[in-house]
Amino acid sequence: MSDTDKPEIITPPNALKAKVKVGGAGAVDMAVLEQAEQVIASMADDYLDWVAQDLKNLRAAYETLRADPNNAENLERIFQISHDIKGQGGSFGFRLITQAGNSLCRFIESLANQETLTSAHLDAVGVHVDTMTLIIAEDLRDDGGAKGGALMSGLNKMVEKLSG
Amino acid sequence: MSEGAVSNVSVSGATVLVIDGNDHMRALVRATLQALGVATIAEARDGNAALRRLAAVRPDLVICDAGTEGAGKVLEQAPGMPPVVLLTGPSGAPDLADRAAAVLEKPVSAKKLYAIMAGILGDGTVSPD
Repeated sequence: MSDTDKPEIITPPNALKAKVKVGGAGAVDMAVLEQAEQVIASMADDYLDWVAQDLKNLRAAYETLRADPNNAENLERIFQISHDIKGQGGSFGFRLITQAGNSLCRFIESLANQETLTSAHLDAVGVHVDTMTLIIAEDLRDDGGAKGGALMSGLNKMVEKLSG
Repeated sequence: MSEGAVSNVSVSGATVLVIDGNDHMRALVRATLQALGVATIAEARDGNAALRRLAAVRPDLVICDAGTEGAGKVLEQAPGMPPVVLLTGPSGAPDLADRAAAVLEKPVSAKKLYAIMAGILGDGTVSPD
């Protein structure tokens, strides 16, 4: 291989070093971090509006599933909404609804090989929808305390029975 | 993150691309980044849209929700792809996490996000814990 055939190795300039600096204007200290945490906390009020709409959509998707239980798209729609609820809840202090949403997602995944959904399967989806609605209606934040524990215990037992 | 762990790194000059199919979570991450001083934030609803925007946005860091459609493609290290912070739920994303520069488990907190950003973009000495 001649010198002219050798591949040219190009090292891209590290522009990041020029963009990220330690100290000085824009440096993040504990006060900035606390303010940023407050920004997240202040979005909690918006979250209640968002989750109310998500629950409305979830309820509508559940009614559609009950009317047409063997249309896979209906179950997928419920999965997507509960996945969104799961992803948001914990960030706004509603860890319990994240757990319930996660339970519904895992339950739907467990139904992947079911050719047809039984009424028990549909009821279990409905219980999840009711539980998530209750969590927001009763403002069960964090893990929901004893009531939250009882709700999750009930969901877990139901899912275990139907998935086993 | 303890008070002593603050690295005092400014991230305001960095460009961050946020990929999340959920509008509300994108809004949350954007607001948090803005509060941390990041001025240039781009968004994409899924992995394919993110890859299409990569050349135009030229992000320094990508924050990608593990459950978003096309997240796996984002982690395939396409040309020009910067470090990716994977946003996961409580059960994690073991199939994707190995390919990410860092994993941020929800709930999102400003302190955890900043610690990860400072670690990746700064001197690499900050732990998210």
